[in-house]
Amino acid sequence: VSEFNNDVLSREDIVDKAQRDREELVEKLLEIYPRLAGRLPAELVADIIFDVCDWGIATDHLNPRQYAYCDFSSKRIFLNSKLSATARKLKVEEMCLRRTTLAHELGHIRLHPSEMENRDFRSYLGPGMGYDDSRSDQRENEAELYAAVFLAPKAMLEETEEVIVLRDAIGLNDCKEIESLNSRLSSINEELATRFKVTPNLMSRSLEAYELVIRRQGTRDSNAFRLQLATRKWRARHE
Amino acid sequence: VTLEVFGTDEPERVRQSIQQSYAAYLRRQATFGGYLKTLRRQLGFTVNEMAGYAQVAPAVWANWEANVHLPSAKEVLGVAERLKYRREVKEKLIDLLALAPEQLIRQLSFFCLEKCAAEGLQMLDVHQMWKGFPAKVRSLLLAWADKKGHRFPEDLVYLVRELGDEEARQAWADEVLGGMA
Repeated sequence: VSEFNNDVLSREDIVDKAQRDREELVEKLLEIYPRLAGRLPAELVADIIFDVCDWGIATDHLNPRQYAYCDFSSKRIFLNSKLSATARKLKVEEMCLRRTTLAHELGHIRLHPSEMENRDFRSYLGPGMGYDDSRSDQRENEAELYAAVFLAPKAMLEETEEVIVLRDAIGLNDCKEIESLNSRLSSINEELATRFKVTPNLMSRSLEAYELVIRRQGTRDSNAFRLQLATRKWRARHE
Repeated sequence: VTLEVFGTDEPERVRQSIQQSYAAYLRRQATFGGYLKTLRRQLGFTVNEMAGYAQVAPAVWANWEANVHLPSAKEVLGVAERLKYRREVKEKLIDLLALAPEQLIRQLSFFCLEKCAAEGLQMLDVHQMWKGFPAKVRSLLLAWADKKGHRFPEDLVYLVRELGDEEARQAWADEVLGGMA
């Protein structure tokens, strides 16, 4: 399976690569297990990691804020063994959180292999002995965007009634109608998340990646966010 | 066909690709989890399906394939019985299980730094990590630390961080494993 090179990637590059990557990896998985055809990307991500990427998935005792990490030296993803408690706290399905986390780690595997493999830990681990390089936050955002595009294919999303409504509304000039839709965005997002078997947080990133919504991150809680329709007017003001 | 399979039709690169794949296959076969994975792939089952036939949770099976939280010999024999493995397969699984502590020590310096990098040392619970190592691994590490005047598990992460390149890490693992003789 070909790997992406790890030059710093633009947002468009990552969206494009995650889409192409999903097609390639799913195709390879279905060559091995044709009986899995028709399943959602979220339902295939673990098997892609096991049997297409040839990585392992294990559990480890991690602090509650750390959902998982990749060990490139042994090709293993370590998932937090207490992910179910985190899922309860976030009020999301454990399986959705697990699949979303795995897709994020798949993003690291596919986007950052040489960067992650060639680290010199003596200089890499900073004074607090955590990641201490200028790219670490950027890498996390890249992996998150990769997961958002990987798990919610644009073509499948665009077939849903919810997204058809959003697409139509983007061109509206009627403020009241836009406000009414904005107030329903959170529940629309949750419905789509349930349908695609991902977390609402991840789904909001997918809608943002396809330029349907604007996502405002909470300042204290990384799982808190607010959504707003990406209207033409808004875009014109910000472009 | 060559282009489709190997991404190239240059004979030298095709040869290299075959050699690399074969070396990876042999490396995998030399560990308990890797062999378990090969057996599953030969049967054409996913992890979920295989775990179902073996009557263990999928996460447990995945841990075994990843050579993490390995089963006892008794559990291996129980699973092998349910999966109707031949005697040679059962014996190979038991032999590979016995090699697991050595393999874990060889990988330990890498994955404990990855874990540390992901969590940050302040958040890393070294005692919890230590408890996760098999008893045999803990006793080998303690014996080495005693000899060298280190305090384990407290000093473990700092020590492996200073080991440097892969060669130095393997040399350290050899020293620790010297206690197995």
